[in-house]
Amino acid sequence: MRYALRKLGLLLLTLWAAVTMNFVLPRLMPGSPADAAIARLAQNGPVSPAVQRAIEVQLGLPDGSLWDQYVSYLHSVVTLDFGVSYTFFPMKVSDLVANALPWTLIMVGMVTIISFAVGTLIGIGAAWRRGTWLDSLPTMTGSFLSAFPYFWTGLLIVFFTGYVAGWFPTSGAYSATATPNFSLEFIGDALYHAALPAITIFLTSLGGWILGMRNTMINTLGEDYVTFAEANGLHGRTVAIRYAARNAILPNLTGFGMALGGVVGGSLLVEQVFAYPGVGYLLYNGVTNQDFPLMQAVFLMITVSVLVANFLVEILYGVLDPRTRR
Amino acid sequence: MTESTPMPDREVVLKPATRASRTTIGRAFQVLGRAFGTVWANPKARVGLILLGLFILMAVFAPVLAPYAPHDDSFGRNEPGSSAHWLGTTGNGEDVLSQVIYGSRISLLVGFIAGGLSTVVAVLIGLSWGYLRGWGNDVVNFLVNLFLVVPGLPLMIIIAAYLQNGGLPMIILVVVITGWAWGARVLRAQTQSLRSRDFITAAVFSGERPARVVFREILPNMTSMIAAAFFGAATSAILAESGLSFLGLGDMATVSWGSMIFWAQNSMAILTGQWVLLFAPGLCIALLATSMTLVNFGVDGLSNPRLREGTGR
Amino acid sequence: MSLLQIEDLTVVYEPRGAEPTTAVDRVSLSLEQGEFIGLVGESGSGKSTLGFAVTRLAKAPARIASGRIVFDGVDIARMGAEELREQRRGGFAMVLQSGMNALNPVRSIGNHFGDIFAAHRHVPKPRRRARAIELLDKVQLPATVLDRFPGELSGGMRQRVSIALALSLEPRLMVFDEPTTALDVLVQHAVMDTIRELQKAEGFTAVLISHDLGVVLESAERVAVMHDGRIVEDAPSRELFLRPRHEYTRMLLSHYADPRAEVVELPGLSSRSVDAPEVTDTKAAHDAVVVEHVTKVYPAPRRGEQPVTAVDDVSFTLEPGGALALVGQSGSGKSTIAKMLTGVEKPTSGTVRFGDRQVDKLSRRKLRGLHADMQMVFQDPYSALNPLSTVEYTLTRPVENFTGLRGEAARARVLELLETVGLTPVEQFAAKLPHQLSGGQRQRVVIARALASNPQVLVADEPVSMLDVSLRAGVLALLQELRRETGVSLLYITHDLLSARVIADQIMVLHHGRVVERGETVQVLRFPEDAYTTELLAAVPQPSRRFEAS
Repeated sequence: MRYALRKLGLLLLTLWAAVTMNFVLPRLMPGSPADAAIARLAQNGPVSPAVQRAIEVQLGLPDGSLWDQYVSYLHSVVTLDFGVSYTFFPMKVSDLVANALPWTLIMVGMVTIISFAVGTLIGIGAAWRRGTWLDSLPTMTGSFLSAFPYFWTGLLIVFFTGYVAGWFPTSGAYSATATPNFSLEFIGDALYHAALPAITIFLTSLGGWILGMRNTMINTLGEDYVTFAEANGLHGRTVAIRYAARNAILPNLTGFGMALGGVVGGSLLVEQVFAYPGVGYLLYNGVTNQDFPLMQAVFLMITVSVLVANFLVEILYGVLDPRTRR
Repeated sequence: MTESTPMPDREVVLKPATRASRTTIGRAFQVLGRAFGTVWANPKARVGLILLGLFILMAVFAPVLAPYAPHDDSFGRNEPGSSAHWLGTTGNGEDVLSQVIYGSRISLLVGFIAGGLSTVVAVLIGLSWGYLRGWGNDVVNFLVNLFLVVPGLPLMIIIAAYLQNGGLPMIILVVVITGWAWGARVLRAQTQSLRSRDFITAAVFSGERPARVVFREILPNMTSMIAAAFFGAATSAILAESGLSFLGLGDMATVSWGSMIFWAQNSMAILTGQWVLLFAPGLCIALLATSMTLVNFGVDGLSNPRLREGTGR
Repeated sequence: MSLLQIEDLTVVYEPRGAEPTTAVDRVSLSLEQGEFIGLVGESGSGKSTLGFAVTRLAKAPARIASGRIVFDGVDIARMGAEELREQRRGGFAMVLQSGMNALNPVRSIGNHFGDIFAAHRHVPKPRRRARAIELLDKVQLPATVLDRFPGELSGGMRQRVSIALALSLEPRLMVFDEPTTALDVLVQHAVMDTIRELQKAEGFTAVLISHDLGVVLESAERVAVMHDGRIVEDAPSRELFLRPRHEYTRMLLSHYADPRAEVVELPGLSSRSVDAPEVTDTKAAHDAVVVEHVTKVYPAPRRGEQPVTAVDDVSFTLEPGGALALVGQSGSGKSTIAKMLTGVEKPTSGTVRFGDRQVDKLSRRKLRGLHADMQMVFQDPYSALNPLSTVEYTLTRPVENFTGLRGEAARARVLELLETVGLTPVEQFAAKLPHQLSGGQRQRVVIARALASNPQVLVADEPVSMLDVSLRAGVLALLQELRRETGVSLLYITHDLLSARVIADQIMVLHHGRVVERGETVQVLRFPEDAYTTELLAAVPQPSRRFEAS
């Protein structure tokens, strides 16, 4: 319990640091991002004082002390008021992010969990059969796959299975004719659209998980408790899973937490390739249009999601390791 | 098996000491040569070294190897592969093969410079963070963990977007800012484990000053980890550069593999059947990154003193 | 028929990228049902490799190259994996050296038993918990241990748990590989008692692998001595002790003695106190180290726990040229005292004075000056030398830092130091890297480094505990000789009373950070007054007690 509380405290502290980083970043940049953003917005028509104020709170006020700016910035973050996007004028940034976030969270989140689970299983097998082709094949394939840039894997898959073979839709999250709802029909359609980006993320991230698990598992296989378990005549499967893998999974979970940011980052590019309406696609649109308020809000949301996911991983670690309960 | 002594006592054979080269440069070459030999001894790493060597040759001799200048757009547009243009031409009428060859320069440059700089930062922070104690330690700990969990690519994208057209130095800068934390963490752990070894205390008892303890006693024992951190950082730098260029956030006037894919994507290369435009530069990125991953399989032995004497036991 | 018959067994190590070596060389040995045999050898003798081979636990790069291991009439050397696994119940069990790490940290003790019962199905499900409690009782552990995790148990308890686990296989042969080496002296003693009693009660055949001939002779009926992969002598314990035939056995035996005896002789060493040093060196010790009411309290390891008092109101004086032994178990505070003496740690209260210096008030910069006069010899010669530095470099640094000598003069001093510690030919040793040296040679380099500044005081923290028995006397003799020749004062920290007896004039026994007894070494060890000292003395392995008394 104390462990969980400490991790929660650390999460809050990290969240605060990330939010603050988001505040500092645009103010550190040369020129005035706020002025640029307001000027852009003005091209769409007159900018209301409220909208101008919202943007300035995010990106930097021309006047007012840094502290006052910071306080109003924190207020705007807590109330999720990030101003208006000019890429998708006159949509509010918060609505845009709220629409996009579920797609990313569900698709990227599920794929990452599946890929981690599969990679871990393969890694266990490779370490258990180390020195054989069951080890070298996944290890070599894994290192090759993880060297692929995410977007390139995506492009290859789009090209071969989408354009050439025509098996899967190549863009969007659901058919243009469908409206989002919770019918089986729509979910099936959504899964069908998610297939290609999901496969891309799965393949590209898989190698890292295989290599990570294999290496930690090889270390635990050298531990005395594994030798002792063999000496006691336990079944090979018991030794591999309950003794070696069960311990190897712990450092691997920590590795998972740290690699999460990289996977999410890569997934953003994949969304762009597939025009998948998640936050990555949103971020891309924000970036190409110099839509600073949108960019900032998306970055903040991605960071918060990753931090929370990391927190959940650490809680899981605590559950799996009796040593944290003391 | 459980015996810790690697060799029996009393039977230490005294081999005449081989005189090492007396000049500093000579010794540096010897050390480098041995390091290379150590990595070369690992079959996976050997494949990596060969691949990496080929890419380096390609970058160095690009003007000789490339049939045309990379920006020469005097050819027909979107031509398929032919004897004059093995990989065809781009939507702007440039030779694809020449661009692929010149593109290796940017990737290697970013990989080595950004990888090298983030390794330097990682070593400095990792060593001092691991060697020093006190409250400063907690602060650094928090900062490193923050940089570890904050997703790097989105951060890079944001910074790059603010610094529009910052070009190559900007890309290197953002890669270093987001790429040092992992190495620092690994090196800190190693520093802490080395610091608890008696020979570090012994060095202090020998009257050594802290800087010398860190750089002469601890640092050389971490060579393999530093090499691993470097190749790891270089790999992610190459991937990050390609990602940023692909989003159009790099210097779009220079030819890099990432920007080639960006232009190909922009000119709907897939729809026009110009898939080579996407395929060739991407494969190069993947192969270069793989080569570094493979080299990393062989760096483990670098801190092993048995390899420093030249002959293994 | 013998229970276990080893015939011409050869085990080779085939590490990748290195020359293969033969660890066990054509060994033949047979064990009868119910026998207690000891397998003795120093590091590198192949004893553990043999133990792992006969229980079929040898893994790559070790490989059984030839020979047969006949257990109960069946050759198990080439047995298939599943058959072998089934054999392990009612067959052969193993207790590992580091019992601390032999338990899965994320599984409760109860689950460890459950896994074994499930794997062999030899105890019906409803009986399993009761059976586990029964087994724990045999090793004197309470039933509550079942719900604990390994991390919550002490080292001794963990080793007892692993003995109980091995016992749950109802083995006919049990191999104990250095079962007590990682444990504290007193705990070692208690665990060995348990092993002996169990063997009598359960009637299994026991193989006790140990580097310590003393421990083995106390327990085993028969002893096999291994050296360089071969069994050089195999005889009943009494026979081996009274009439050792092989030279190697005789050498090993010569290193045992009773610290309580009137005269203690070890090869090259005698317990006669060092005469007033024939001081020729001008830098002989002239300052006393005075420790007054020193207490060290470490903050609690975890919140909600008590702070740890490592050293509790300790006072003593180390006279110039004197030799004081600090003895105690690990955790008795003896190493903490060494750290406070050398300024590595500051005392919570009390003072440490050395001449006119107050050590606990010295700044980091001044500490450097202190180290010119006070040096340290470390416990583990494998970690006390930078693996990447040559002997010459390691010795040159303190010479340059403390004596101001440079270039050829410094080199001459380095060679002189090597000469002093007996590493000749000096030129060759100067160019060596640590891994090219044996443990004993490394420890000599460590001592040479400590001597580089011509210190007044040497603090030696367990300087021989990591060395093979046969090498200890040599290093101890060197320390004694140094005292005689340079007049250096010596603070000798150890858990080993025998070495304290031969090296120190004065002794101080520490228990839980407090001094429980002190005085002349001979007096304290021969006529101990404190119960703890007596207990420590009883724990010193003593073959003579068993055979000479009868």
